[in-house]
Amino acid sequence: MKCSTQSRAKNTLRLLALCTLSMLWLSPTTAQAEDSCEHSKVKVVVRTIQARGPRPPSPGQTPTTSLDDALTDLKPQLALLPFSAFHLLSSKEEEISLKKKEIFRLPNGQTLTFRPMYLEKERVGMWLSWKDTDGADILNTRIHFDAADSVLTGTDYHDNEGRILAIRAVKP
Amino acid sequence: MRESGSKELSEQQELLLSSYVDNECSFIARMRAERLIKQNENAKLFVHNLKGISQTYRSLFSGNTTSPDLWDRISQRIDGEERAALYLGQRKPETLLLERPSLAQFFSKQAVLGGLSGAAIAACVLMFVSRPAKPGEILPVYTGGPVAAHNASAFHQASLGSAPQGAIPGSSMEVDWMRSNGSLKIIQNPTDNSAIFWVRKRPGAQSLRPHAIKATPTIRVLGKEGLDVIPLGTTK
Repeated sequence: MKCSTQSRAKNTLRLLALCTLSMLWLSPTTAQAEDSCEHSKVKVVVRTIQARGPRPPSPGQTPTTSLDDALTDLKPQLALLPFSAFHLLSSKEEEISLKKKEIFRLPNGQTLTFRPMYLEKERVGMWLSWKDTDGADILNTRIHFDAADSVLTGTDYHDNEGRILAIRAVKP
Repeated sequence: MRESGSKELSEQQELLLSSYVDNECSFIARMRAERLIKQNENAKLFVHNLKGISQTYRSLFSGNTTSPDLWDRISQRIDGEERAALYLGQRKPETLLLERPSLAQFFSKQAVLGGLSGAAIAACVLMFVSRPAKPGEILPVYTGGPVAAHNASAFHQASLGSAPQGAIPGSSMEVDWMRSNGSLKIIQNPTDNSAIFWVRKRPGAQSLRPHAIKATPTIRVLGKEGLDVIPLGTTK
């Protein structure tokens, strides 16, 4: 009877040890799975910017540019454009699965279609298609850029106005 | 193409002899070929000619003119391209690389890409003019109709295979292709090498999508004096 109890206790201990080992064995795999899951998505941030007011040429002076606080990170780039005011119309961010197509509807009825291809070593590859309200291609490109950078693209919009898209893709 | 002096040989016999010369035939086929050569003078001549051609070919291409280093580089390049193709699809023959260090060089030389195609695919032509870009200078990239424009550029890294694609420092912008319904320009800031893609819509540019036209539905009938137009819902 005593012998049988000892043997049962041994078996229980063995089982516990096996379970512990299994958990130890499986834990890195789970982490890897989480890791791979994380890399299968990309967070895309799209800011739609309204550019207004033609900047008057001011020789010898730094032209003044007014822009929203939310656009300060884009100041060096926006300053290159011949507009005096930049206003953030909308900001949209969404997690997109890699190689899946996603369509953003922009405030003015235009659409921006994404298909992120990879996100690797802080580098993003993306196909994007910006279409006008009538379905015409404003821009259709396949581009690779740093995840830390914003890709800026713009077009004329009505009189003396411009619409600019700042696109950024980061790890979720 | 038939060899001279073998006109009497059938095509099958020529194939048999050809595979015999190349050591590619089975035991039975070999026996048949040897018997044919023994029996037929034309077959003998045909084999002789084939062997002569084969020897000439070998003497021409027997020398190993390529260095092992080159083969290594080619092999590395193929591996790199395969990895890139996995993610990006097949690379276009020419790609525009906007690498930050080279972006400054790229724009320090004024790049003019002009590409037009009336029908299908337009190829852009990149010209370098050694004039430094001014701040905010607008560089025309592509002007054309609603057609695809594959950027043409000296994609040094790919063409030389000096480094795999993943080895580019993480500060570059690369464009595989770009197309637009308007004229496309790159506005570049030489100080931080950032760039904006600006699309200038062509005046009067319209998409090919059909638009609904508001009009009163009409029906055309052949009247006594010719065609007539009667708006629907009305009686004449």
